This record gives sequence, structure tokens and C-alpha cells, in this order.
Amino acid sequence: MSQTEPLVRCSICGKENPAGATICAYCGTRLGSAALAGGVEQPSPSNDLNDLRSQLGLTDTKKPTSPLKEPEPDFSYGPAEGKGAPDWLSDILQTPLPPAPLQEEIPDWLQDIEAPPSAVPAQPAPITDETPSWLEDLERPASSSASMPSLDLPDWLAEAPSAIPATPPTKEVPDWLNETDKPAMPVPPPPHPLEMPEEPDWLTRSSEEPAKPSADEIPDWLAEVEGLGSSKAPAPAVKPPAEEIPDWLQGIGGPEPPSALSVEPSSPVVSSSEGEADWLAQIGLSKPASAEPATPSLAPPSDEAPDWLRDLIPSAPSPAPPEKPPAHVTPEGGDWISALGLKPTSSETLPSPESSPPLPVTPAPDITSEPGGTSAPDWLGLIDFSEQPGPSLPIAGEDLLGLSADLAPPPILPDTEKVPEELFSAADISELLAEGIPEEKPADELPEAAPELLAQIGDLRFEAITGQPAGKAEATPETVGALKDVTGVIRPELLFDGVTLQTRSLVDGTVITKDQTRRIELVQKLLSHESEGVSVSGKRRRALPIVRWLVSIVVAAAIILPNMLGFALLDPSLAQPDSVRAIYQLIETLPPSGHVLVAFEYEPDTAGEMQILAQALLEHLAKRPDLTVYAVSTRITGPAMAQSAFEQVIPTYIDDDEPGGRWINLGYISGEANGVSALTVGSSPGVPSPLAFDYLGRSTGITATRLTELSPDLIIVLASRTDDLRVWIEQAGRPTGLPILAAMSASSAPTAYPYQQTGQLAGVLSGVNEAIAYRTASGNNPAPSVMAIWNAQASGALVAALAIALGGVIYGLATRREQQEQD
Amino acid sequence: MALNLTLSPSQAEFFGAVLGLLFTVALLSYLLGDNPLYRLALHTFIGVAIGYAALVVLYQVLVPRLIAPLASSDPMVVGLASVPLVLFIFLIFKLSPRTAVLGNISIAYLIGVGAAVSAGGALTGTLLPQIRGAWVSLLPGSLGVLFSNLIILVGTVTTLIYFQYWLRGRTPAGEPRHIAMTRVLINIGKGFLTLTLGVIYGGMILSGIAIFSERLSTLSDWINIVMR
Repeated sequence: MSQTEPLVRCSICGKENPAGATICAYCGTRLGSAALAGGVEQPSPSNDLNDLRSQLGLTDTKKPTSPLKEPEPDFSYGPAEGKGAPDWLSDILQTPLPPAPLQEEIPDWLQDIEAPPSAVPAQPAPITDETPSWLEDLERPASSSASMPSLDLPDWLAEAPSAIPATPPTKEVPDWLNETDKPAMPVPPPPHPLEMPEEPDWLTRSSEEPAKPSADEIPDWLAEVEGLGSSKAPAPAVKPPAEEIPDWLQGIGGPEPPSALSVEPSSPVVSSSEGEADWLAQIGLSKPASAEPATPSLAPPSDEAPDWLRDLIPSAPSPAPPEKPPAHVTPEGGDWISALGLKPTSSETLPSPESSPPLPVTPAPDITSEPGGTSAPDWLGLIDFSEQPGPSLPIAGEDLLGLSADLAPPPILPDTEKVPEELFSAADISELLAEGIPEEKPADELPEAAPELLAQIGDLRFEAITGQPAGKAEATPETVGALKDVTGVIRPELLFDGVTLQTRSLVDGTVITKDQTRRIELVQKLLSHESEGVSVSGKRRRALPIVRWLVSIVVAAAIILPNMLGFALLDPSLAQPDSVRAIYQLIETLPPSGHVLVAFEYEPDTAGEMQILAQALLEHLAKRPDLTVYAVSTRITGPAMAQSAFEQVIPTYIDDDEPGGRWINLGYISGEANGVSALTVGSSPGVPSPLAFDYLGRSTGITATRLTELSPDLIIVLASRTDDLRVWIEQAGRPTGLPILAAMSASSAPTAYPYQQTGQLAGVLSGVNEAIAYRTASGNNPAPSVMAIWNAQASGALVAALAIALGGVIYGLATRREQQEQD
Repeated sequence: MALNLTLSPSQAEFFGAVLGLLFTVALLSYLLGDNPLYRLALHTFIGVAIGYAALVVLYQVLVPRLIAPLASSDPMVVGLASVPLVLFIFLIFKLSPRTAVLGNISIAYLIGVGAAVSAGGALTGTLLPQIRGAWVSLLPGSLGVLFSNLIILVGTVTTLIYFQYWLRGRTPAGEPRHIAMTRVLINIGKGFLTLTLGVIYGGMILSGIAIFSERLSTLSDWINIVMR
């Protein structure tokens, strides 16, 4: 490299850039002010790596003179053609790197990592072109000359013809590559074992000189690297504190590129005596020519470091516990480079774990040292080689669905058979890999959920809903399926056990919410109240209300007082309606020796009124001694009423078979309408007619068997109910055409007038009033008792009418007032 | 020595008066509420009524219409008289659930004959004559006759319309709603019905007063007899 003008070395790739350049022409990272200041020519780690490569006889013998003219490495980056390189790698190869972030975009922590001038250590050893970049990073001081030895692309990657164009790339670049100018990357919790860990402090500090391992502990290849790097007398690397440098890194001089481990699980870093040089040459490292230790820049590995690393740097002070790489292994358990999809173009094969001898352990160069030493790329520092084992790749026969008894797959151990004994022991590798796989954070380290959220989730559990005890549900963990070994889930009912089809109750119990339970209790309470009934408490109700008692007393007084006082309110001459005269004339004009059939259709309960009517009519009939009067009744007590009436009218009633005027009580006719119909149409032969016997069973001597044969001249019906009258009208009057005279009570008389209107009745006498009028018309004075009844009826009716009228008025006014109040 | 249980008319009248007075007062005691005296009088009346009815049926129905024909020597008379006897026996079988099926024959005969007689009589004796009577003439004549006939016609038609419930619609709320045209006629018919029921109620009051008065008069007579 020309040194005629002040050059600025990129802290990421280590390439030299013209002075004044703000962006590295190789990797596109932003050149820091420290890199620009002073024009300090930083040792280029690539120089040392190139030297090492040349020493190892690798294909690339050309020394890069210009970043743009660096020969294309012999590696064929990426997998074989047709297989497809990883995207990150193809992007690197094909796409230019994005411009380096501006100064203000660099986070503060990253800027701070760029060591202040005061922290600038001594000039590290010059970095030759053959020095691998990752080694250069170990030696590069954290001074102003360069930014933090952060992620750095290895030479083999940086030397790709199109991988790192001179101009800053404009297309998409992986983020990890964009951040190569940062001195250190923040290390998030590594869920993936291959994620970069945080930049260890030893990489950021450059105040201490790295401890130089002993010569016998430094592997030859590393010693060569250091030797090559020391040819240019690189400035002593600013070594980070010994206790902060991981042991393994101290031994090897720097981390590996991040891409090498992020794509696939890395195979154990093994090398053999034969393949050792190959893979080292491929990455730009040459086999160390001597066992001279390179500029020690790292403390010797601690006791926790793997043996292979310990062998590399046996005398280095023990730094911080090394971060062991993840215990990843390729399915083949072999070549990690091939696992990355890389294949060498040369005949040199990749070192196999079996054949590659262990590398001599050399002290790891100071990553902050100048060229001549080696510095680990920053990206390697991001690898979390913690001791937490990470998940392993599935192996053949692993129970992925958790159907086996054990959910956790067996730890995937690397195939230690291929691990060369020289470099790595099987136990070491397995231990390394097993311990190095970062594991997921255990559950206890996870952020705790809010108690409220946990409580809400707990309420949704099956036990909380059904009310089953938690222990019951948890006692039966799931044994199959994705929820294996999980308890507290809703268990699907086994419907088919493979032998017989069994259907059990699919629901253990009805799930009722609290609101439903409350409503059910309310309904049950209401129903219980209905069955219990309602008990009314209070005073005992009186027999009659006052108003009713008052009305009753007044009406009774109106009935009793006239009779008791002996005064008559009405004159019998007043009761002579025309209808009464017509009836009187009807009976008066009966033919001589005629027959009159009188039907006594009333009971003793209405005898007080009907008897008055009966007496009035019978007295008039009694005045005709040539008439024969027959008394019949369809009521049980009718013959008794007839007999009583006969005896009151005719004191000299002759109860015998004298011809010429007889009054015969024929008695009871059964069947009501059927009996009257039978009387009209006649009975069957052999069955005596009702006309043959009287009420005492004595023979009447009447030969007629039917009413038409008897041919009465008039039928008088004394009825207290309309139905009785209707029966005689329908069964006797219509078929025979005989005239029917109705003597009705005052309550049933209105229903008899329609029959009179139609001519089916000859006349209607109604109540005591017309009875008195009929007696008057016949020329007979009514009896005092009758008059008393008539007067009492009149006065009582008057008072009742007044009471009804008054009550109607009062009720109407009250209703109107209520309506007005409602309105 | 024979016990002469025959009462003279005066004795009979006296005892009759006393018993009548007592029972009347007992029945009227119901005004004060149900009491044992009332119940005694009521039960006595029911018993006497049943006994009297039984005697009347026995002497005026069964003996002359059933027993006497069966005792007749005429086979025709006996055969014809046996029909009601068989029906009577079938009716008695109604007392037992197992033999109640036979009683259905007698009941069917009674119901059938009764329905026929009643229906025929109602149709020919009431319905048709009343329809004929409502078919009155509105031709000009005497004013009184015309007015009377008009009232008859209006009253009959409106009363019949009142009972035609199908003419009444329903409101959306489900309440009956009258059609506007028939609403007036329905109200007129309701008026005629109200007047008729009022007249009948008035007659019932008159009958009741008359009966009550007669009872009071009888009580006074009985008291005079007892006191005498």
C-alpha cells in the first residue's frame, strides 16, 4: 500500500483509505474522526492475514494493493451453483454496501466505545496485508486511529470481488454488515445460539497490552500469523484488560465472522494437520511457521476455557469466563465451512474433524493491536458463547410431537468421532457445544405477568368455571397430543376406546354463570310464594255492610208499616187495566159445560204471589158451576198447590165423581215437556193416560186419553217461570190450537208478552196488581190480606225504586269524579 | 189401646203454625250468617221435599204407569209396560262403573226424546211464531201501531246485531273494535237489552216484596194462633 499520502485505515475492514475519506471504500463504513485524524496509518489486519495466507500456501498469493483491486479469493462463496447462497451472503457478494452511517447516527454507546484519545494505547503492531482481519481486530488499539474493533469482515469475505465494492453500497445490506463500523453491538438476549453476543469489554478497551502467551502454548499457525504480523512491527496492540478477554479468544486472536455461525450451526472448530492449513488459508490465515507466539494481546484462558483454547493460549492470563460457542453440530457432524455452504475451489479440502490435527495453541493476539497481531472481528464478539445450552437440532427418531414420555429431546451431542484428537477432544467439543448453545431464558427469568392478568387467566381455567378443585384437574395431566404433560385443560371425552363405542356424557355438568344462578333462585322464590298462599291479616269482616243494612231496613219498614199501621196506599179501583177486562170476558164467555184445564206450574216459594192470581181466576170459574176444571202440574209440588187453591176458592169443593161441574186434581205429570207432549198426543196403548187418575190415584172416569179428545175450552197456565209457560205453549197450544191464558208472576210476565203479541196467548195476568184488578172486575172485593200484600208491595216497590234511583245517581257522580281526577 | 195420632183441624193448625213459625224464623236467621238453626231448617225442608216428591212419584207415576200395567193380565199391556221397566233397570246399572255401559241406553233414549220434543216445540212453537210476529207492517196506519211496530222492528234488529260479535274487529292491541256503521246499531241493541233486563229486575223486586209481605202476614197469623 502506498504511503505517500496520509491514509486512513478503516476500523472495520482494515483497509486503507485516502486521507479525507469519510466513508470506507471497501466496506462502506463511516470512517471515524479518529481514523481521519492524524493520518495514522493503522496496520491493516488484512496484511497480516494475507501474509499468513501466503505462508500457508493458500491460493491467494496476491497481496491486495488496492481495495478495489484485491484479487478475488479462491473460495467460491456460497454453496455450489444451483444450491443458492444464503441471502445475507449473496447480498454481500452482489450488492454494494450501504453508506456508512453518519457520525450522528452512530449511537452514543458506540461512539463511546471509540476510545478517547487518552485511552489510546500504544501503537499496536503493524498489521500486514496478510494479517487476517479478525486477527487485526485483536491488535488494533481502541484509539483514535480506528474505531472500535467491532464487527469486521474477514478477509476471505472482504476480498470477494464484488462483495465489498469500493463505493458505498446503495442497495440493501444486512444489518449486521451495516453495523460493522460500530465498535460494539448490543447483545440482546440470545434466543438463537448463533446470535452475536455483546461486545466484550476487552474488545473495547485498549488500555492494556494484551498478555503474551508463552511460546510453547501458541499454536504454530497462530505463531506464524503473529510472526507475519510482527514483520512490520506493528504497533503494540492495545490490549483490553486481561480479565475481560475470554480465554478462548485470547488464544486464537479474535472471533470468527458472524455469518459463519449465524446461518447454520457451526461445527466444532477443528482442524487437522492437513486440513488445518486449508481452512486457515481459506479464511486468510496461514499456518503458523513457528510456534512463536504472536504479540500476546489477550490474557491466558481461564480454567473454564475449553482445553483446545487453553492449549492455544496456555500462559495467557485468565480472562473473563469464556463464552463458549453453542453446541451446534451439523447433521454430518463435520465441516462447518461446508455447512455454511462454502466449498473451496482448490484441491485443498476442508479440514475434517477426523483428520485435522489440533492446532497449536498460541496466545491470542491482541485484537486491538496493530497489524502484525491479530484481532478478532467484532462480529465474533457478538457470539454468545455462554454456558447455557441451547436447543439442539432434532435428531433422527426424536419425538417432535411429544408423544413419547419425555418432552425434552435428548441433547444433541456432536459427533465426536470426527473431532480430531489433536485439536479438540471429543469430550471437550461435546462439552463445548453442549455448554455453548445459548438456551432460551428459563421461565423464571421471563418477565412476570401482571397479577391482574394472571388472575384473569386463572378465572378462565376449566376448574374455575366448573368449580372443580384444581387438584382434580391437575391430577390428570394430558398424556397425548400437543398438550402432553399439561394439566388443567378441558379434557376431550373418550368416545371410542378402540374396542367398543362408548358414549359417555359429554358434559360433566351444566356450566351456569352467577347471573343465571341468581335468576334461577329468584324464580324459585316466586314459585314458592305462590304455593304458600297469601294470608290476610286484619279485623274480621262484618256480615253486612252498613249501606245494605240501611236499605234493607228501609224497604222492610216500607213493607211492614202500612200493614201494621192499617192504612192502604192504593185503591183497588185503580187497578183495572184493559187487558184484565179482556181476560175476564174470555172466561165469562166460556161455553157451558166446558172444560178448563188449569196448570199449576209454581212452587211453594212463589205461592205467596201466585196463589193470589190462582184464587182470582178460580173464583171467577167457580161462578160457573157448569164448567169442569182440571188441575194438572208438571211439578212435584204442583198438585199440592192446586189442592190448596181449590180448597180456598171453593169451601164446598166437592171431591167426588159428581157430574156437572167437578173440579178434578189430576196430579203430577212427569217428564215436563215430554209429559205435556204425551198429554197432547196421547200415550201408548196399555199405559194409562194422565187423565185417568187423580193426584190420589183414584180413577177419574175420564175416557179421553189425550188432550185433544178432552177438548178443553181454555188452558190456564199459572207459572212463576217463563219456561213452564213456554212448554205449554209449544207442546199444547200449537198442536191443539187451544187458547192459553197465562197468569204469571211479576218477574216472568215480561217474557210472556211476546207470546201474547204473536197470538199464542189469550191473555196475560201479571202479579198481585192484576190479580186485584181481576177480582175487582169480577165484582169480588179483595180480601184484606190481599190488600195488605198489595199495599205492602206498592210501598216497598216505591221505596226500592227511590233507593235504586238514588244509588244510581250517587254512583254516577262518583264515577264521573273519578274520571275527572284521572283526566 | 190404640194410640190416636190423628190431629184435629185446630190441633193440626196449631202445630202447623208453630212449626211454620219456627222454621220461618230459622231460615230468616240467615241474615245474621250461617248458623245451626238455619242449617236445621234447611235440611228439614230438603228432607220433607224429597219425601213428598218420592211419594208423589210412587203414587202418581210408578204405580199407575208401571206396576199396574205389569200386573195386568193383558200380555200386550205387560209387554209394553216392560219396556220402561227394562230401561229403568238399565238406568240403575249406572251406579256401577262396570255396568254403567248399559245405562247409556236409557240415557240415550231420554236425551234423544227430550231433545226432539224440545227442539221441535221450540222451532214450531217459539221461533217461527216469533219471527212471524216480528214481521210487522210499517205501512202507514195508526200512529200508535206504526210507532209500536217500528219499535219492535228496531229493537229486534239491533238486539240481534248486538250479539253478532263477528262484526266487531280487533285493534292492533287485541281489543274489540266495532265497525263504524254497526257501532250505532250495536249501542241501540244494547239499550233495548238494558231496558228489558231492568224491567225483569223490577218484576223480581215486586215478586219478592209480595212474597215477603205474604210471609209476614202468615207469620202474624201464626203468632195469633199460637198466642191464642
